[in-house]
Amino acid sequence: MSKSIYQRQIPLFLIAVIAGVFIVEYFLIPIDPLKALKDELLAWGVNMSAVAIIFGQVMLLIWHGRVLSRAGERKETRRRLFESGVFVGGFIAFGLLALSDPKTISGDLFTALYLAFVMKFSQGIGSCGWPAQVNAVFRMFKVTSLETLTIATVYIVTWLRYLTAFTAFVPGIVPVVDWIIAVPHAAAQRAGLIGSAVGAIIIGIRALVGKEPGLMEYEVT
Amino acid sequence: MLTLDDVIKKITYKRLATIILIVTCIPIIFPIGLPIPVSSQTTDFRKEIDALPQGSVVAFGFQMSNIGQIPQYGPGYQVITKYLASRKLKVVYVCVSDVSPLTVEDVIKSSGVEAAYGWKRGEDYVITSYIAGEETALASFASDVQGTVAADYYGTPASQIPLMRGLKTLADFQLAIASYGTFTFADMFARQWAGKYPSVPLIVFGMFGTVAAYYPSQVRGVLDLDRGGAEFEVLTRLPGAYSSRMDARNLFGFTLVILMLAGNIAYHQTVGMRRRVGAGFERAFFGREEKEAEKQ
Repeated sequence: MSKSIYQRQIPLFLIAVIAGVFIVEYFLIPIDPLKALKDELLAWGVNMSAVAIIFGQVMLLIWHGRVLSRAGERKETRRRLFESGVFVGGFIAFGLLALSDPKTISGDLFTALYLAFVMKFSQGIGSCGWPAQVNAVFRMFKVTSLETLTIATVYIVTWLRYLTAFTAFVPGIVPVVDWIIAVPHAAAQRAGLIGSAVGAIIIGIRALVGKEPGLMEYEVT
Repeated sequence: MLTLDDVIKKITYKRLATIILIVTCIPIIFPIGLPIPVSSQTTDFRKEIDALPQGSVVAFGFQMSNIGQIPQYGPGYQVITKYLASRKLKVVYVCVSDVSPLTVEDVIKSSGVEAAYGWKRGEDYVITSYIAGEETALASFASDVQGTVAADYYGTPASQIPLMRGLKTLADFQLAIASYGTFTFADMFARQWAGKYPSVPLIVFGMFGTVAAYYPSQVRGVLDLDRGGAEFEVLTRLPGAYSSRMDARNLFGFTLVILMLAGNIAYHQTVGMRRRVGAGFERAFFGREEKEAEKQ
């Protein structure tokens, strides 16, 4: 059997059938058996995505381990080993907590540890990004054309509108920036959304009829 | 002579990070008390809550893209929850992301509404378990509350929760609040809640830019993240973290704008102007050619 049959055609067929069931249930026939089928399919989707996430994490660790085993003794290697250790430790600890608590992840201990560790780490990572963003604006955001002048002007007035001390003394900036957000910004946002939606439908149809070579196509050839 | 470009070149990444740290820390240690004017979006947000009689039921759509958003969104959740509780409203927290239920639980504990306003789980508020499916989840909850929420976060069946009795569709709620960390949810809430159930007013706690196109027709009021949250704290006289952060935010914002302007001025003073825009523009703005002529 050709790889393209089970890697491409069968998944596409399944997706088409499932999407068809959802569309019919949502727009045309909201009857109980179809709704039950939709709920069952959604439950399968949740379970499969959970398995895919765990699988992805395990694969990530394996690949990371391979990189480390080839890297030899370097400062970088020790850092990566430490990171992997933290990840594995966290994975096992939270996994055991989730399994040991009769209410799974709604236990007090799980919540307290999750908020104390995962939230703080995540917050720290986000905070570290701030100087980088300012640095990028400071060093790279240069006005060299009409387009960059427009972007820079909108960027500055929008920032000023969000500074309460500035709007207290220059209230006239509020309706100007609100108009920029509500009219040109919203128009561009919707144009992008419509463009990507139409593009996605066209690519989807082309993929279903086998006219669109995707990544999988390149892999099997 | 030291030029602006020379000064800027001396500001290394580490020095820049130090400047930002100092600028944001000083007003936290020594509050300045800069003014916080209240915008119409925030006033509208409060009006929709104030219009509800006591005992009304609110659907609070709760989405976060990750747990690290708590420091930014947490004070907003707290002040909204406190205000809803103080108005004696009942709230169903509709959790449409995996970290939402434990975040809501933490918000309720940390805001102290149970002790301050006598809020009781199951009677005054319900935390649903995670409802997967994003837009499908929002549509499903709106059309069939009982079918979508089989049990709350603590595993109590919906049939045994007093607040859940009588709630069949979104039309049975008197107000809907949408909060989200992933911006695509703005459109989902507008489509599945405000669009399909126009009788239930929708107000939003999220970035104004994501719902500006729907305001004020479908989205009746907006708390624009930190700024909106600070305004709401001032408006409701429930002081919280947002209003205390506003000084730091203001100073940081002004610093950012000044740095950007300085970077551009220095750039055009040196290499950029002559090559890209032309000598005439440079002469008009900086008079460099005149200075060169004077030197000669």
